[in-house]
Amino acid sequence: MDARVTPQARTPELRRAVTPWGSFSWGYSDVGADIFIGLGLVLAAAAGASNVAFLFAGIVYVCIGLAYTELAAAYPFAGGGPYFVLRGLGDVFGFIAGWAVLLDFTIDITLFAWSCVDYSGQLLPVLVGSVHPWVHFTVVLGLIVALCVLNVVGVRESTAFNGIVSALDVASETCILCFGFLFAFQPELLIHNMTASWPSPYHLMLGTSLAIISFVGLESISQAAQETYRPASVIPRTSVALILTILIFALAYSNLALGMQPWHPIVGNHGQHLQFWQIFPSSADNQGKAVALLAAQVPYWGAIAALYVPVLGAILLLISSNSWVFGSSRIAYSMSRADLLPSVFQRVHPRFRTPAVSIFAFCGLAALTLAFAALPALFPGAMAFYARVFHGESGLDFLADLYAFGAATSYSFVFIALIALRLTDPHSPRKFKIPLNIPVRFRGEKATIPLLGIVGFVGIFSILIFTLMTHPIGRIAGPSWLLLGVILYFVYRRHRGLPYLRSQKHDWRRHQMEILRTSGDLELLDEYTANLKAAENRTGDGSHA
Amino acid sequence: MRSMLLVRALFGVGFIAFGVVVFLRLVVFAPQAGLRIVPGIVLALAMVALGIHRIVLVLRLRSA
Repeated sequence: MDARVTPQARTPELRRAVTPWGSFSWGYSDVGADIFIGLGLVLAAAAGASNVAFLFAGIVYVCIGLAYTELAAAYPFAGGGPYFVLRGLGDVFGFIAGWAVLLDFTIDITLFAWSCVDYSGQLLPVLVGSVHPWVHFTVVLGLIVALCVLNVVGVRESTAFNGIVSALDVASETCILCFGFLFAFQPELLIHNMTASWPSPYHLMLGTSLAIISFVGLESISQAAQETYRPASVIPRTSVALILTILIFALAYSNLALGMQPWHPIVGNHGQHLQFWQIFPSSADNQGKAVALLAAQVPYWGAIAALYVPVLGAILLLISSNSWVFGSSRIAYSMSRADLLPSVFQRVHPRFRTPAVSIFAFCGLAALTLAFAALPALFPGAMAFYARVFHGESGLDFLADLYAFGAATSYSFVFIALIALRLTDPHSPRKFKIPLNIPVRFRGEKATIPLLGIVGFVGIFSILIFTLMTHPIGRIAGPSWLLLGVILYFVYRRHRGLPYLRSQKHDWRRHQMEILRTSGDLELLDEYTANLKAAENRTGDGSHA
Repeated sequence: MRSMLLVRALFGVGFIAFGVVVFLRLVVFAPQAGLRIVPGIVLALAMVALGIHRIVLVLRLRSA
């Protein structure tokens, strides 16, 4: 997010070596893992309307995905949403968006490590949280510590490994869904379940706010942009495939879960036969490993899937957890370079050359959230307090609450930044533009307002409202996190003698030229320079040069 | 390279066929189910869209 980069600066640049498949798999390993967590939570909350919750969140996600695609292709710089917000709305909002993303990434470290252990528990009963809470807690904590150490030392999963796991997972999920829809899916059962088990408006809102967590991780599209060769061409191609793939999996799983006849009969505690989705509302253990349970109930393929899906799910979730450790430390590092966070977050380990302070800070925070989430299971005495104050939410619910809040907040800002950048920076070439645009004139320049950006903003903002209305922990802890961040921001800006509300002077034009030059999209650099020159001729203002 | 393109094209055709099957299985229930089939129909359309996207990319790569 440091806009003070100049062509003369000798800071090392990221190598542009990510291929189209690498770009896809990078995104898939982050977003693709979400459904492994989201499916069970949504089925538990929205019951017969789970597919509707996924549809609503999915439509918003498509808008978010298109917004990220346009922004990442136009500004191929590894700063993600906070970088776009900083450019579009200035320092304060850039900080708030970055701080919300940091909340999300920190929660993700815990949430994905937690779910990784839940999936492993499908094959190793000693890891089942409700039976052995201390073992579950210790293993999750061990994973967080291990990821912290690995990131400080500088070991990171390679793009090739991501690619193999992503390819295996896409193939596996496609097989599960093919067998499921061909041999177990009954449309009349789907319609019956939707009619008989339609939730209350409160639960539908709760389910929708949880469904959005199945679509989080699009930051990786823009994170990968700076390492993708010719990103303006490659990113739109891979992003559209990624957006559609994730949408299909989320909608397919939810429709299948509601409309499938289980391969093996599921019997409840009182000997009654249960529909597949009915095993989720009363069991946090089941919610944590929903995809593995569904895969095992698919005819024929389920016999193999029951064995490998928990392993594949656990690996994908662990990769994802690792990428959140990496992402949170890099976002804190880049926010620090842009004077949005104290310079301590820029401190690099003298031997390993990694942002060790940032990694320790956010892994430490992740360990704290783990302790808070696991407390009621570890000490039954604390359960009464949680039941009174937080409506008895489980550890997984607590993490999901904050996850949904952080995602909805940061995405809301990205939509506003998209619209603002269309108006304030019409000269940057946009090889990919969100369809459906309204032409306007802004400060004497021709610009366009993306209609889908407005639709997406309304959608994600309503999900933010749903989150505040239906998540007892999210509505307290989420805004408190933002408030704490804003206070720290003002204290830091005062300490540094920087303006509180105004932005520092950023030379975005020079910065844009630099990122286009390094991206390999030289024709876009020419187009940008020509656009600036034309604007300069129109206004007679030499400042564009 | 050629065989890879073929696999990708087959993948695209498979998704289109799968989408059509899901669409047809759901659409016959439209009179009694009404709007309840909308998530399923969107799923089917997304499958067809992904299939078309894959095939268009393969054709573009072949002609390049």
